[in-house]
Formats: sequence, C-alpha cells, structure tokens
Amino acid sequence: MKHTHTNPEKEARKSLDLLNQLKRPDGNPYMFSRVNAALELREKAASGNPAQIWIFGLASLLFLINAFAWLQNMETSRTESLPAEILAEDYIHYQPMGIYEDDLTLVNYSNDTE
Amino acid sequence: MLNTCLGFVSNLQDAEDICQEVFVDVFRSMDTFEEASSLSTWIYRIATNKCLSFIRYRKRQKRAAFFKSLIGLDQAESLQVPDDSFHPGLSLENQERGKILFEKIRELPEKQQTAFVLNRVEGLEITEVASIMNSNRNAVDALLNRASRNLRKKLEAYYTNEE
Repeated sequence: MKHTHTNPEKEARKSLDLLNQLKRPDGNPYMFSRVNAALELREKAASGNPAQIWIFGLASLLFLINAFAWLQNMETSRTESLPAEILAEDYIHYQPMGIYEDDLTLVNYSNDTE
Repeated sequence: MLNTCLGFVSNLQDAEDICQEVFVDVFRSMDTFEEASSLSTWIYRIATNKCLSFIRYRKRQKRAAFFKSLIGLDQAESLQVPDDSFHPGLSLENQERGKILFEKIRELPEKQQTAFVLNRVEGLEITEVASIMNSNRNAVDALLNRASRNLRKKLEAYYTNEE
C-alpha cells in the first residue's frame, strides 16, 4: 500500500517522537518457569543419556577388540611369509652351484654296481 | 530487560526468547562474574550481545533466502523470513509507524544502535551506557548524536520514497 506523506521531515519527527510514547511492556509471568525448564534441559543434555553412554562404551570396546585382532593377524601373516622369502632369495640369487657337489657324493651308488 | 530486547528486535516472542537465553547464561556463568562492573551492567552487556547476534543471524537468514531464490533452490515465498514486528509498548494505530522506526534503528551500525536503544528506548543514563559498552561518556555522546542524525536521514529518505 502506498502512502502519501506531504512532509518527510515532519513524518520522520513524528516517528522519532514515538520513542517518548513507548510504554514498558509487562513481563511474561511464565518467564521463571521457562528459564527453569531451559536450565534443566541443558543440564540433561550436558550429563548425557545413560543408554547413550552404554552404547558408546560398547562400540568403543568392540572397535578396540577388532583393531587388536587385526593387528595380531597382520603380525602373524608377516612372520609366516618370511621364511619362504628367505628361501627363495637363497636359492635363486645367492646359493653358489658348487655346494651341490657335496650332496652328490652322499648318494649311494652301491645298487648300480651290483 | 524485556524492554531492551524489544528495542533491538521489536518482536515480543523473539524478545522473550532472548530474555530467557540471557537469564540462562547469567545463571550458568555467575561464577565467572568478576564484579568489575555492577551486576545490572553485566546483564545488560549479555543482553545486548545476544540481541546483536540475533539481528546478525536474521540478516544472514534473509541473505541466504535471497541467494537461494536467485539460483532457484527453493520457492522465494517459502524462504522469506516473516517480519512480524509488534511492539506491545505502542498503541495499535502507531504499530505501522513503530515498525518502520525500529526497522530503521536496526539498519544503524551496531555501536550506534546499541547506544541509541540503551539510551533512548531503555532510558539509561549516558554513563551507564558507557560502562555497558566499555566506552567513555564522550564517545557515547558522539555515538548518540550520529545515531540520531542517521536515523532521521533514513526516516526522511523512507518517507520521501514513499511519496
């Protein structure tokens, strides 16, 4: 809705004069109850729900057990794979062929001569 | 307290909510009160900060609504923040004028707004306003002068455009 104001200065002064007519509003009679309720709510939120604490504790425990089991598993698999690697390295790269000659002398050829 | 909050937000429900928050904060942080200033000054300070935060939050909401409506995230009308200003300290025939007045007070810079509301709406002495604002008497005087001048300009501009 468009108003028609003849004198903006006068209108502005009228508006500012409203500040002198302002009455103090009555306070809400239930304010005390509201504040009490808000305080109780905040205290409840701060202390936390006992069921939530149990759930959080149980979840943490399960997580720790899982983490421990996983670490154990990792360690076991590492120790199991170690000898095979060492053997492979020994036989492929580092073992000189000459040492097999001693093994050959241990073979019993007695049956062949018979 | 309610009158001060109303001076800032000019809506009874919002003012009562802020009052409740103020009292809860006062109760919870009573141990930290250092008695460097009087209790009423401290409470006024908390109330002023809460009111200014509330106004900032409302402005942010309006800005977000505007941008969302621009990029078509939602219907513009559903995002508009309702402007249900109603000052119970004013008569019914002055409600419309009062709504414009308080809207223009909220457009003032925060310091000017605080000084103006505490002095002109709440009726506190300049020295009290100065101690609430952690300032001195001269600075508050200057703020009040600037606030009155700016407010008059804003109101005049509003009524000129309305013509």
